[in-house]
Amino acid sequence: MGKGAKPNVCDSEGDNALHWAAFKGHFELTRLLVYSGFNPQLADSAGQDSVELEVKDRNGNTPLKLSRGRKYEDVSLYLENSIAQSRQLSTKFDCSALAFGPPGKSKGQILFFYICLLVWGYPTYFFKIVSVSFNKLWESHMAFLLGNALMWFLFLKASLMDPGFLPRDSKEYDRAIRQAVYFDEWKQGKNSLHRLCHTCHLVKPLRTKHCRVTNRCVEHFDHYCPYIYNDVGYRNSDIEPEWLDDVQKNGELFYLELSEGEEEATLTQTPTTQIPGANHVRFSDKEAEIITDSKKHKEGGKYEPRLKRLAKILKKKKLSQRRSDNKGNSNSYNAGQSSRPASILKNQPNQKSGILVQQQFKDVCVYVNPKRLGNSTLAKGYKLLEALLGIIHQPSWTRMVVSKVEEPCNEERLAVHGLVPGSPAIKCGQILIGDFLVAVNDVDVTSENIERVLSCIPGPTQVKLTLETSSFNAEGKGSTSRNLNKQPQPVSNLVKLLWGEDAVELQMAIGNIPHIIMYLSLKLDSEPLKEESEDYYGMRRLYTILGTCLFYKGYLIGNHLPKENLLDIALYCQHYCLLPLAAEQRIGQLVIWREVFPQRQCHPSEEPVLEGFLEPEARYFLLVVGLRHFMLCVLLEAGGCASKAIGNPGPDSIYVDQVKATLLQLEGLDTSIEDRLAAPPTPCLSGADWFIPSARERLESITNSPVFSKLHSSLKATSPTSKRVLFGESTLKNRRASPQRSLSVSDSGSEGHGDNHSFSASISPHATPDSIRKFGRRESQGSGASDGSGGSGNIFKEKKNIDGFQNSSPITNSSGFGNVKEHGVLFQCRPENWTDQKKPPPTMTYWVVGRLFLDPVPQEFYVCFHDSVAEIPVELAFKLSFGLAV
Amino acid sequence: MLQAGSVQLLCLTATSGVPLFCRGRGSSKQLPFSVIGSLNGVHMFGSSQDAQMCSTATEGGGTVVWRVFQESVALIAVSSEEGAGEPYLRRLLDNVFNCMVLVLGLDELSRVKNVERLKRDLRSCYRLIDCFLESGGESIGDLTHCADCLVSPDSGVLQECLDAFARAAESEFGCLLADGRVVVATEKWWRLAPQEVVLLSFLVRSLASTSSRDCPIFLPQGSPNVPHRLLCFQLVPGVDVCVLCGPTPSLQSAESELVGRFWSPLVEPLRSCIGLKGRCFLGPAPRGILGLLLINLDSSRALYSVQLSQDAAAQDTLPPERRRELLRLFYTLATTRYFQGEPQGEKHETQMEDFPAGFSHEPLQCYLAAAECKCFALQTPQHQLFLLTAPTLPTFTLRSLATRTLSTLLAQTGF
Repeated sequence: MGKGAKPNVCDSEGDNALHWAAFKGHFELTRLLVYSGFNPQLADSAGQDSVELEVKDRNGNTPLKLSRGRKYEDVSLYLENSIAQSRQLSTKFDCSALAFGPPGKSKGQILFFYICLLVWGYPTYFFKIVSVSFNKLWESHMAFLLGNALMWFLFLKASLMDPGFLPRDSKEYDRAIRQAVYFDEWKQGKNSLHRLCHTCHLVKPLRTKHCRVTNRCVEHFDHYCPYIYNDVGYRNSDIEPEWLDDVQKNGELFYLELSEGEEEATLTQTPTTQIPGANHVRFSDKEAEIITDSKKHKEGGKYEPRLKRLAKILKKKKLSQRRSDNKGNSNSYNAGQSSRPASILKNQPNQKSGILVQQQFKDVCVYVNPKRLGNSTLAKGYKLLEALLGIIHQPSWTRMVVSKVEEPCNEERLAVHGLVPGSPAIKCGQILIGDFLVAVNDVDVTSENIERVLSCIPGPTQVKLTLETSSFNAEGKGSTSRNLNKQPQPVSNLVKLLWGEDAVELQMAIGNIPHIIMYLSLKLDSEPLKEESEDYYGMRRLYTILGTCLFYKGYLIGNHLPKENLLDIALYCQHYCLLPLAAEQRIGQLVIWREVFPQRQCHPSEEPVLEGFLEPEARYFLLVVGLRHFMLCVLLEAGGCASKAIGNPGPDSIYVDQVKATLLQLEGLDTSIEDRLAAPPTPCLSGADWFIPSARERLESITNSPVFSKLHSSLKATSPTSKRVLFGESTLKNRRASPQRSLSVSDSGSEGHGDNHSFSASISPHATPDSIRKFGRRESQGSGASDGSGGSGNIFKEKKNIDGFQNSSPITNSSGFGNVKEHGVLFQCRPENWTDQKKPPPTMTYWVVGRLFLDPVPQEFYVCFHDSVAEIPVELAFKLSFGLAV
Repeated sequence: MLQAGSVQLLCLTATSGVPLFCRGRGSSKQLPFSVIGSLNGVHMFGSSQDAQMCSTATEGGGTVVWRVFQESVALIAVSSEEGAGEPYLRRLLDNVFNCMVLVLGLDELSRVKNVERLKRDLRSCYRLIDCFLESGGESIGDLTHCADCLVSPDSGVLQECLDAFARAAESEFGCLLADGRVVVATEKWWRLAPQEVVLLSFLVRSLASTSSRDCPIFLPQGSPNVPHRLLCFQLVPGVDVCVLCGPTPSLQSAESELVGRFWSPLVEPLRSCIGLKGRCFLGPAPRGILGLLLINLDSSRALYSVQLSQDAAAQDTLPPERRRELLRLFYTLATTRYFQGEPQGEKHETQMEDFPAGFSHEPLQCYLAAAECKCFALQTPQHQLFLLTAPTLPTFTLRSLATRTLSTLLAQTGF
């Protein structure tokens, strides 16, 4: 209207804007219209006055009628009032509006609350209760009153405080309006005006919403609460996540909060075990000072009050560094290693200065034994340094960083360019690549005299090295490439180093991470997160979710990511020891956010996957949210069809919350997963002969016999590890099948699962899919799966390692065929000693199918299943093969 | 020493180790005498220690099989072929000895008086032995011990004619063969041992170039010591009729009087038999099948074909030679491992694992998926069906394909 739009224009039905506003129930708009163009007090140029409020459209509907018809009480009330006012042609003080507030923002609820409490609640309390029982229960009365006071204070605070209203009429709005025409984004199909609030005349930041009740834009708007008579927004709500303060300036976040029990455990251990080997650790100087000397710190830690220690540990734990990966793991360091801090750092990152180097001296004691060295190694320059201490210094190679910052020295300083694996330097864990060796046993050393100094070491002794730590921090993006430069950490069961592993091995290692396939019907939506907020506001969504993967205790449970991305994420998680962390400790809360450069998107292979498909130019972000044993990794794409990321965006709380909500939804799963994990690693077997009903009657006698029970227990004791079952010996070795016999009931006919000759006779191996042994001599692991999903039959399974690969297996034995991939035999079994002459004996047919898997190691895998089992469970059983430990 | 895919057959006298003959398949040269000597020496050493040397396998995939027949003749087969393992070589030795019996008679072989004479006599069966050695031929009878058959559409007429012809030739054993496959045979002919039927088919095939022939034969099972006369006439090129008879009639009289009289009206049906050549039965075969082998266990007859369709594309994928090879391999695999019921219950000692003995479960079907092809085998109480299909066929369809094929074949041919 400010631009000159005519408010009285009608559409074909004769409905004008007011009709529509009333029809749709937009109270604010109705008010605005009445206030501006339809004000009955001001007759417009056309000479229409109060009648206009009652303008009928062609259907004879007035706005009032429309709003009543749609049951918009406040709108109709307001319209009635307006009409009444306009008829009286005099301004009338609106009593009800004063008492109950303007329509639409009714004070009714809060008044009811006040009145109830003040008129009824408190008098009753004071006159009826206090007077009677004050002497007896004055403590509880005092507590109640105090609580009441607190309640009132908080209530009034919530009610009266500014929920995060944004200032109106900002200049940005005007500028945006003026520039709107010239926006290039129009051409790209983006509507920048979505970000503008035309009521408050401001540019809405993210998650800001205009509240139509209070008629203001509220930051982080949640809802309008009629009881506190206020909006719930950024300022008066506690929705701000704990990790928000820990977001780095480059947007990265590594936030780990252990669960309660773990914190206790951490407390009882020495608190010196923190310190990751990261470069930009945000310790205060004081704290780092303490840590510099581990002994002192230990002592200090002991005498600290407990609360303080807790606070400290919490603080450290919140240490939000992406490098602080082993922070959570630290409490499980081995005792021997935990006595030393992993690194000594005392610097604060300063992102804005680009590269910043701070020097800090530290003393490191290493144990060296020069006698252990052969004479041959004591040859040339710097050899001693390398051989004795394990520090590699390359004299000619000075880094850019060093030359930039350091003063040019006459004698080259001894920079640590590398560490020899297994050397004293690496064992102590304190010498970092990039440090400078300043003194040995308080003797200043340079590249000139280091060899001399070191050669003076007479025998096995402890040497004090003084090192100058120079810590530098490049701006965010380059940081991934430095993963490999990471300082070695103490090796514990949790911390696995990249050290010494080349890329290929690493890939293999990832391939070997434990997988589990659940028969559960996992309710995993492929897009578990709804971009609720952005869609609601009509904004371009911030990120597209490329896929998620869910880990439970380090087991991959669900994955929607392409293989390459999954590998990348698994590598990341493994590198930062998140998987074992989730497996061994319960994470209280874990939020990781960082920009990633996934291999699939950033280093696409030569040939495109699909013709004409190009990965969009986008940036990728990894969001990992952990909750107890669950860990959900989400790969987000900014750019492409989502809006472009500008700068270094931090984690978006909506996304984090949605992921967390998803995890909470999945909570119920953990019992079933636990069940599955607790189950023996080998699926349960059933024997083919159990399907034959004739053996049923024999069951009773068998189960009671001591032989059976003995066998039963011995079978249970059998470890599931693979054992060699030579055919000739196999009569003595039974498989694990029978303990799970109760599971072998299937629909396919015989509910009774008796056993055949195996138990009644000597303990011969016929209880299990003995057909397997047809294939002769092999190393086998009795395992099997009852096909839970189908229920139509049982899968008997046999796994086979390729030991006598060349000579025994049917697959490779038939070498004349070239490479045989699959081989199957259908067997039919009949009950023995079928006496009933009239009926033909019942038969049961089952397949034994073996496949040859060449990857990762050549192995044959045999599945034995009932004839009626469909292909899909069988395929599933084959897929299980790689999850079974051989 | 041996080139890939070659088989060497050595024949020695069991007691003295004198080489009787040495035949070979493939391009490899004859084994040097020292090797022959040591091969025999190993076996002889074993037998002197009361141990029987049956077979051995070399690292390179080669196989050596020994067998002594009638304590007089020792046969050694050396194969460098990886796939055709021991079972095939055993069958081969069996067949070769039967050939020798067929030509020379058992007496001659079991009581060797003059080695030089025996050597000379054995030359006459070289051709037949070579026939068996060339196992890549169109017959699989040497392996299955089932006579390869050909189902002609006019088999009724041919059967009548053959019966009449055999009666006229004063014989009960008559057989009509097309290209080495039995088209029709008299009832008595089928009562011969299956091995003999196969052997005679091979014999007739080895004589293919002659128009008529009269040769004395000993039947290895039926009459190993009393020779019979096998009269053999070529009716049209590729189609022979043969009768086993006593002293009469003479070849000349039979050829001049009987052959023309009985068979000249039936030239067209005979020609049609040759027309079937590749496929051995009429009627459509299900698509996707590259080769099939159907064995009737009761009558020991087999249908064997690797050229079922004239599909050019199918022909390209696998040449017929390779198909034959694969089907033979698969047959060997399936029968030795799973389908133990030998066609005629004949148990010859196999060196298999003795597992199946105690195993009551009966294998009915088996399949194998390789890079080159897929194979499926099916066993019913009366029949065995072996299919060779294209590798593109989905594995789960094989079973239905096989059952369908079996039922169609049985319906079409009444096999």
